Amino acid sequence: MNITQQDARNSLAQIEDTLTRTRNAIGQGASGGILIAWGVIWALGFSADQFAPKLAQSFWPFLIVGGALASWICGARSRPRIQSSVGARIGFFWLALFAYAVLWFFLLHSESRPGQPGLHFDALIGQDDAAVQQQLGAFFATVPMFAYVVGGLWLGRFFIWLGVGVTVLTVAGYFFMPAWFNLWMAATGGGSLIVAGAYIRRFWRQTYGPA
Amino acid sequence: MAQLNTVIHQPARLRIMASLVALEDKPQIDFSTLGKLLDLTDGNLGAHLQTLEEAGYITIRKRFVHRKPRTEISLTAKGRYEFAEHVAALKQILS
Repeated sequence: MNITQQDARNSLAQIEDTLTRTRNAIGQGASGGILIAWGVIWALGFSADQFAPKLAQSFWPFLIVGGALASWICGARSRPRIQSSVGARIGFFWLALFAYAVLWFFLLHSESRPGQPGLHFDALIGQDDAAVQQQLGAFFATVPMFAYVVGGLWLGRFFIWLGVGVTVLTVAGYFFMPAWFNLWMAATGGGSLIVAGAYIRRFWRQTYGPA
Repeated sequence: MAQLNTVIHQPARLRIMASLVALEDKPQIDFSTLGKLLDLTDGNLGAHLQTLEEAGYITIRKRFVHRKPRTEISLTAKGRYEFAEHVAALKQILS
């Protein structure tokens, strides 16, 4: 079988295009529902931080467990359509990222307490200092956005824009409206995730039909 | 030296194989999702899948999920190897 260089170039371009489309489909399959779930969680959690900070401290762990469960259900629901080790790897990536994020926060926070080495669990739970609470909120809001920016390099530009957009909103709220930071995060951060999730779900349903 | 594969080289089959390879280890995709992903009609997709199955590059499994029939397509080890060989041959032509 003989083909020209142009035919070979066209075939390789077709392969590259198909690889990109398939990876986008893997990334988008579950992410619509996951983004909506986390958008609702951000809206509830940051609203609680703003209006009932004491209640919020015990509220967040339940929200995070609920979010993890919702993410797992969304991933499992998309499996019958496209089953790939890539999807499982994305799940493990998120787990590893958050494990490191918690570790980094402990390390940075203990450094800010000279003479008190060790892990300070009150940095995460039972934190009364409003400034540290806001740092905590901004930090854990931007960690997943970093993941979206990096993941977007493989899974599509949409995720890069989402990550950059929410990061800019978070930083703007942190520096320019500290008194209303939590409400700002509930509305803009949570709202962005819900809108992005709804957009992906709509696109997915239009392209591939209902699950 | 890698050889071009006449079964895989056909454009629709090339894209089917590329899509399955993109799913990496233990890949599996259902018939309708694959058709929409590659913009192929059911008849066209079915014919190409049959050719690939006869060559031993894919397996097709039919089962019921929530009382609905679902056709699942998986890549075989032979299919993965032959696709890699075909891509290597294409790259050799350009080098």
